[in-house]
Amino acid sequence: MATPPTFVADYEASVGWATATASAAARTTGSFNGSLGDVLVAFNALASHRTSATFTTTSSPVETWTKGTMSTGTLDADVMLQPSTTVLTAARTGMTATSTFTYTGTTLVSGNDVAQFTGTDGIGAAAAQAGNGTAAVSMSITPTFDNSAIVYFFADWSATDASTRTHRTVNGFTPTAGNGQEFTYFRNTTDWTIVAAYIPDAGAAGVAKTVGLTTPSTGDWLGIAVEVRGTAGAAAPTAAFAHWQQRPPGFLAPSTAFDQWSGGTDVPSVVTAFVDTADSAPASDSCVAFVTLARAQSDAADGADSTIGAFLQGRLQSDAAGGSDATQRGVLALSRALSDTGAGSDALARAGTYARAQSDSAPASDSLTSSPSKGRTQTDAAGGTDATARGALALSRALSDSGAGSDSLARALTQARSQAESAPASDAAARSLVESRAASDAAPASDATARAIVRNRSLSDAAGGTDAVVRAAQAFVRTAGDSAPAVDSTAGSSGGASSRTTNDAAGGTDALARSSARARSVSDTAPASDTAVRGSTRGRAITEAAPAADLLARAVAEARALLDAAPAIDASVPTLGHVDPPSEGSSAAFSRTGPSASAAARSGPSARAFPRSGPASME
Amino acid sequence: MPDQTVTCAQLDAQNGYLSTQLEKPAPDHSGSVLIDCRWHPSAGATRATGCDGALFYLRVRNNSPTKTARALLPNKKAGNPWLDGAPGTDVILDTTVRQADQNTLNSLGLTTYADIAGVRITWLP
Repeated sequence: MATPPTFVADYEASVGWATATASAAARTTGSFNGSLGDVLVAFNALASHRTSATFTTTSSPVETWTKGTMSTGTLDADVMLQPSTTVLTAARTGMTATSTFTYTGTTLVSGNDVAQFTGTDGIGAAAAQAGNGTAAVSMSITPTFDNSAIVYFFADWSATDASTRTHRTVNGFTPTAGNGQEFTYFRNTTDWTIVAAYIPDAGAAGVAKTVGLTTPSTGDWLGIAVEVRGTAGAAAPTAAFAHWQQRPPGFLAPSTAFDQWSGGTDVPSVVTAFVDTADSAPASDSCVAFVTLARAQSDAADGADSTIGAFLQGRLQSDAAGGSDATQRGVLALSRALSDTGAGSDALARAGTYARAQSDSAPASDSLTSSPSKGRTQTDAAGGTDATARGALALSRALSDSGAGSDSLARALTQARSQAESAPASDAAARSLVESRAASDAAPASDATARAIVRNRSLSDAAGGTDAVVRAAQAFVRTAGDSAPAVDSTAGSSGGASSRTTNDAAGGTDALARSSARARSVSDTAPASDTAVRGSTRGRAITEAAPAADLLARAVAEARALLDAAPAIDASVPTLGHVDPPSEGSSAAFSRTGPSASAAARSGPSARAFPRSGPASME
Repeated sequence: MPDQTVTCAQLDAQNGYLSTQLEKPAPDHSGSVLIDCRWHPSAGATRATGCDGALFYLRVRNNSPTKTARALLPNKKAGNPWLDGAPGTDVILDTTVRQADQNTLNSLGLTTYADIAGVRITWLP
């Protein structure tokens, strides 16, 4: 359906319709204004037919005028008519149109009438009617465009009195002077009768229309007619469902499909479906279900955006190639591909999944299986693959990987994190509650956590520390304030081994034998060497002013030095209570130092209870 | 035009008088204006000169209720070269009915057909 044009006005020559002049008579209209694209139809009329007469229309400002078909007639028995048309190439102010008539013979009456239409796409068909003798005037014209106007001009050489006249009806329109569709009637008894009118909307193209008068039923009329096109409308979008809906608060309402210039099919079935413009290729956007948003912007190639389900958002932006965003049937699935240079495929699995590929230089494939899992690849130089196993609450994150990072999360509650690694880090989390952390490692750190509850921590290692945790149970190794690399090795044993070195000025070596050995040095001013031998031995040195060497024999030996003012040497030999006899004069008849004789080990020579030396006392 | 061999007198006799009617609609389609004048050719008038003669009838009618019409009369001998017809105007000057109308025509500078020739209608804003 086109929009019919709008008749603006007509402009007659200043001399009217009754001025006779010789050949080359110029008939100029009064001035008028026009808009770009306006159509002007000049009806040029000569009161008597002349062979080889020419009519020329010009204008000021200049426009290009195109002559139409001249009416045919008989010399001095018919009028002579010819239309001339132009389309304004610019807005005009104070424009005039001039028709010049050249002919042979006497002076003749001539005139012109210029009809102006606006809102038009130009000129369509034209028709000319030869004299039809004494009859009511009629003329057939077949429009070539829908909803065009037909403007026509009839003149009667015999000057029939048509003061009472009726125009023919076309498409429901009957021109009259009262409704303005007839814009000129002139008759003088000496020259001619002229009637000019237009049909505002002739209806469908391709169907012949008959214009003219039903009364008077006499006369010797000739006529000319011109189709003035309307304006073609835009093709209506083929939206199956395009309307506004009012939803409860929280829902978005508008559903709009607009401006499809390349055969796009937009079938929004419900609320909030937007199809953007400027698709250079046919785009197919289909939305099903409610609260779905599908947007394809500037697709250079066929883009298919399909969203199914509820609360789905799919967005394809600036795909250089056909991008396909498929969102599965789920809830809260977000799929977004930004600036993919290759075909990006973002597949979101069912429910609660997030996949995002940003600035992938290569096709990135982010696949998420079901369950709440998050995978993110950021600025991967190569195709990054984030595979999240089917687990629960698995977090995998690789930051600033220069190479392909592969983060595999086992099916468990695992957390693996590599920070500022210069090389690809591989964090393997065993299937257990494992925490492995390397802080500020200058070199790739490899943290292997055995399948056990192991805690391993190195503090401020200047070099790559290797923390090996053997499969042991409850092994604690701690070095505090080591100025040099300390090697803490705990052997595997089933024993509660505790080793502690406190405030060692130098690298202390604490070797724990495989036994229940306890060695403790307290406030040693000098490096103390505590050797725990294999055995149930206890060695204790307390507040020794000087380095004390505590030798613990391989025996159940107790050595104790108390408040020694001077370096005491407590030597225990592996004997059974072999003690030197006490000195005479001492009230302590049986003062003993050293291991209790009773507790002495038995070894070596037999012990003699009363070793004798010196005179015996027999008092 | 009617056969040039037909004389002005013959045309006058055929129609009872020579006449010119001009009707133009208002641009707002509210009505139209009609100018109707009648005359008899003077003796010796020819077709080439339009069978000029003394004007005896002039009707100016404007049935637009809102627009004022203006008849442009470039050959009008007296006063402004136009006549305005206010909305609803219907003025008939017929000397065959009222001889005094001839005085009105004279004062308007409309005495012969040549004074009406070239009449055009325009509408005031």
